[in-house]
Amino acid sequence: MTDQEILRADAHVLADKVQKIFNPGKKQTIALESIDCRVREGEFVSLLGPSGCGKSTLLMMIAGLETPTAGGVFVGGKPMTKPREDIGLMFQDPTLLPWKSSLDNVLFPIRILKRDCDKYQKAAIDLLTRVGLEQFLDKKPAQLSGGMRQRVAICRALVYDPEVLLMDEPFSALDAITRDEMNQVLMDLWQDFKKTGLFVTHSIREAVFLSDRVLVMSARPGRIIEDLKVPFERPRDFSIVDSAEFNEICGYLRSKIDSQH
Amino acid sequence: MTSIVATQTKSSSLASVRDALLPALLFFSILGIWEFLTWYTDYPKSILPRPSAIALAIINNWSLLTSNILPTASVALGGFVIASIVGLGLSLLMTYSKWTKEALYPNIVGFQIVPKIAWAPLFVLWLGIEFQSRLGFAVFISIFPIIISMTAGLKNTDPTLIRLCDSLTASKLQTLFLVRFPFALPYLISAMKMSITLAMIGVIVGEFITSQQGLGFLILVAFGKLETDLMLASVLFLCFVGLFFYSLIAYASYRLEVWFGNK
Repeated sequence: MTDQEILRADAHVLADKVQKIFNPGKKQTIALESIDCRVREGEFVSLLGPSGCGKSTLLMMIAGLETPTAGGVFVGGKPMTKPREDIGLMFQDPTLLPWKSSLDNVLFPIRILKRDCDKYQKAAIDLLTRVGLEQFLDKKPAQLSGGMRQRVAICRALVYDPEVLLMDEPFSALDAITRDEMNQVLMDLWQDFKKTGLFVTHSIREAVFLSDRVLVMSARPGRIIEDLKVPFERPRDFSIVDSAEFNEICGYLRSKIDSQH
Repeated sequence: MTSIVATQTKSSSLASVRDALLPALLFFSILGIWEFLTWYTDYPKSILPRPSAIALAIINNWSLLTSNILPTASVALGGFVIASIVGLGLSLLMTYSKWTKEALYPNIVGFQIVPKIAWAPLFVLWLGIEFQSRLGFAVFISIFPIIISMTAGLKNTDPTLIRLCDSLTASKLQTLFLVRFPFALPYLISAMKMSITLAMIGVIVGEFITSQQGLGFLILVAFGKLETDLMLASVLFLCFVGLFFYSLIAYASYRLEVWFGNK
């Protein structure tokens, strides 16, 4: 084994000296400058940073939807050159098909992947029941609230059983109360599904509550300036956000982000 | 709570009755005033026949009028269907081939500005005096809204949804059929409403130039004999044909909205 192979074997998701430059040339924008980031199998890591720091760009490169200008992205030891079905993706917007029911929206990836929809029907219903939508299986997105739609989107990202789940600020468009609810929903789901997770957010509280580890990114060009382990046991209840220790961690991360200015 | 709901339903059903009644009332009032004025003035009936005379002309010429519906309606519908299919094909081509779009789209937009009626005699020259020239001309004038709206519709699909499809390793064809096309359907429907009207115009213009049958032809024949009541009766029949086609498409669009979850 070469050094690089050892490095890859240890990390389920690995970004190795990744650089991303948009419009190379005179008007170029350096979005990311030599990012190293690794997520072990079953670990939940948050990328925390100000808007425009390139954290979403990093996530899209890990999803295989963008290619790095330099450096390499590996998932499961294999370089990411194009999207793969062992990776699931969630966006800020639920991006549901407006003409399909919740159940059919959850089964959408199964149709795309040409798997047997009947076989996955039960899994889809179980997931929707798990997030409290058993009464809304046949409702269309227009009949659901914002939080419900994002619940459907979580189920859709999990139904085809990807090993890695990438989430791009999935709850940032929701109101504060719904957002806290969704954090708990995701926390509980994680307990059962045990994926490797990478979560992009600009909410410190959300990052600390959900993650095993929080990576803080600097403003553009993005670099990782802090790598912090969150000590709380799983499963976590949302009440921990009121504890002194939780707030101390949040305060520390806040000071790290503020030190940028 | 129930009483509020009940009042709302009642007032909304009242409102829909009013919506239907008000335009009908206006229409028949104008007919009434028209009828009244022609009784008390001696305006020549060859210039403006009274509504009752038009009604009489419809009764007297019933078989002549009805037998001329089909030649006009069938060519208009045929032109519309061809325009829809070809227009759809072209907009798909332009969505997936950047080169085709860059070469074709500015030309289509440019052509759209030209008054297309002016081309009608040329179609007769090229395609002859039979139905082919009218069909060709109907396609020609009704295809533009289809191409332009459908291209816009296919382009306007939510880009994040396309990203989702990409991340799920969807093929281009899957993304087209499962996402892009359904998203563009409302655009297609509104373009079709415009297109069917234009196809009717195309056929009538064609009939004015060459035809031996059809409602447009009937208008010209009646014009030659100064039978103004028959002319207006033919126009009325054209209105019915147009309304029939339009309501077919409106119904299709309603079904579509239900399917989309908008209603």
